[in-house]
Amino acid sequence: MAQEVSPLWGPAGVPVNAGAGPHFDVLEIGHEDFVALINADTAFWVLAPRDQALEYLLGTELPQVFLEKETSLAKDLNNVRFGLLPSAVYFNPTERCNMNCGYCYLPQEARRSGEHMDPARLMESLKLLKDFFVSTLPEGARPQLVFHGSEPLLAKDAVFAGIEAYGDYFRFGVQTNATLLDKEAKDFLVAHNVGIGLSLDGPRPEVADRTRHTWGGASVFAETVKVLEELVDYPGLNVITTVTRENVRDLPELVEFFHAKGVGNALLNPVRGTQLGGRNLMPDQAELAHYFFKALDRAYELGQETGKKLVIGNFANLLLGLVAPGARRLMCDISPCGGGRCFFAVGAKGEVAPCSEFLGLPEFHGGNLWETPLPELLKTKPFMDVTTRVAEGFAPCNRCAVRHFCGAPCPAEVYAINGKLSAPAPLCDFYTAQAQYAFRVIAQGRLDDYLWDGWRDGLEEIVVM
Amino acid sequence: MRKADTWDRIQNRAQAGRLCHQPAFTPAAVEQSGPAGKPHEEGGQYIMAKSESSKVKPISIRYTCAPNGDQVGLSHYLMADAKKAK
Repeated sequence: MAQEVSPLWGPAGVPVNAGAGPHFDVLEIGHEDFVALINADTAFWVLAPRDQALEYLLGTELPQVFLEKETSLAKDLNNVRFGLLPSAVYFNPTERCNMNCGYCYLPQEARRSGEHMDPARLMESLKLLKDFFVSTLPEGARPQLVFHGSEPLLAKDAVFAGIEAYGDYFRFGVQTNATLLDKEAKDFLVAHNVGIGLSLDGPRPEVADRTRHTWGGASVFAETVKVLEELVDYPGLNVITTVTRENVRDLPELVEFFHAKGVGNALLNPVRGTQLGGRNLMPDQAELAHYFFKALDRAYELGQETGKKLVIGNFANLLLGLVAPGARRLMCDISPCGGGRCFFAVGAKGEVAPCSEFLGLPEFHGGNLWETPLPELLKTKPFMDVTTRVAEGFAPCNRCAVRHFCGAPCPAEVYAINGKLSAPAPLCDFYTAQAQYAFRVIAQGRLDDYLWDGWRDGLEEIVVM
Repeated sequence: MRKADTWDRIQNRAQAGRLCHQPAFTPAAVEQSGPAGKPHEEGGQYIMAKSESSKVKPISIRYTCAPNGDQVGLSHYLMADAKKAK
């Protein structure tokens, strides 16, 4: 007698979300026509017509075509998550700063009365770093070295000597508050193709000065804007706004300000809560989402009206994370983050940390550049703790559909706030909303409007659907 | 720039029930203007516009490339990319 076969058993294809079948999450993106179906492990997604989403999930086509490309999708993502070598350094030539910004990730006492790195030590450090990169990177590679702060131009002579000595090897950058950037300094940096990063937190002094001012409380807005105007056409210019509760409502106006000044590229980075000052300035997430998206909307509108784009770099990086994970530049919105594996930080006393955010957390110092070989430093427990922190390793990120478009940043602030690394981003709701906004941008066919011209250059498409 | 009444309404609604069980989504949803499509508020509920999805095709975009050593942290990635926006 033949055994009865369950009608549920049959060659209907590979079922999703069971057994060895692929797993797809459904994400509401707030668009009239589309919802997102996401395989989080490979960062693969498809925007499915809203009224056909269930058919996609229960049908045979999506699981089948996904499985055919799953290996290449996973390899692509894993390469950028686990396959990179350190190729950049944040280098603090001094502990001191001539400003007292409310959110700085370096301790106030060090910024007020800390030490400059001895010029000879600075040169020794650059040699150690070059030797390390020469031994680890492919021939011809030029790692990036960014003089960071505190205010690196307080040690201008030593910094400029280093640039002159090693300018043929490193791609240098200077992140500065611009107060010491006189004509001579500007000319030097431009002549040596040094990236120049400026910080400006508002479109008006009464906004910008709330968080960025001298120790005596004086404004530097006018000086910063003057330098911005002088360098706006310099390809190496880098404009950063730290978004806090003090300026979050001014972001749309700030976008108009930058656009009017001719800025083509800016970062609107939510403040990190690594130090108490930063924590106290963190914006409400809902308010941040509201005004950040209004700023993105405004940047889009201005681009349409004038034909001149203002790319918001941190959002553009998220879009790249969605459509071309390997092409991303910022490594803060992926896990493991770039700290300790794509770049690391060297403090003014030679201390080495996975990232500048960790310089103010001594327990995350791997050791000293002048005492311990870098290959050993990069394998110490503090570094390994950061470089092995993956979003799928803890809740709720391990069940989050957008975990590889967010990265649960930043481990330094997560640690400072939670006392452990295995916790979600303090701005978790904001990052989720940002991913939803990004999907809406794609659904509207406006991807190119939020990215640089030519962003597809050098990329190869993986056709799944 | 701030629209106090609108913002207060968001806050009140968010506290009352985390709109649509999409807490992170709600702030942007309030404003109807802007280029990216958003749901709209109607009678205290967030409603999706009537779908015309039978006319739309699925969208999936994925490119691959070898990372080129420009991967950096928050403050200086435009060193490599600034000229792309020019």
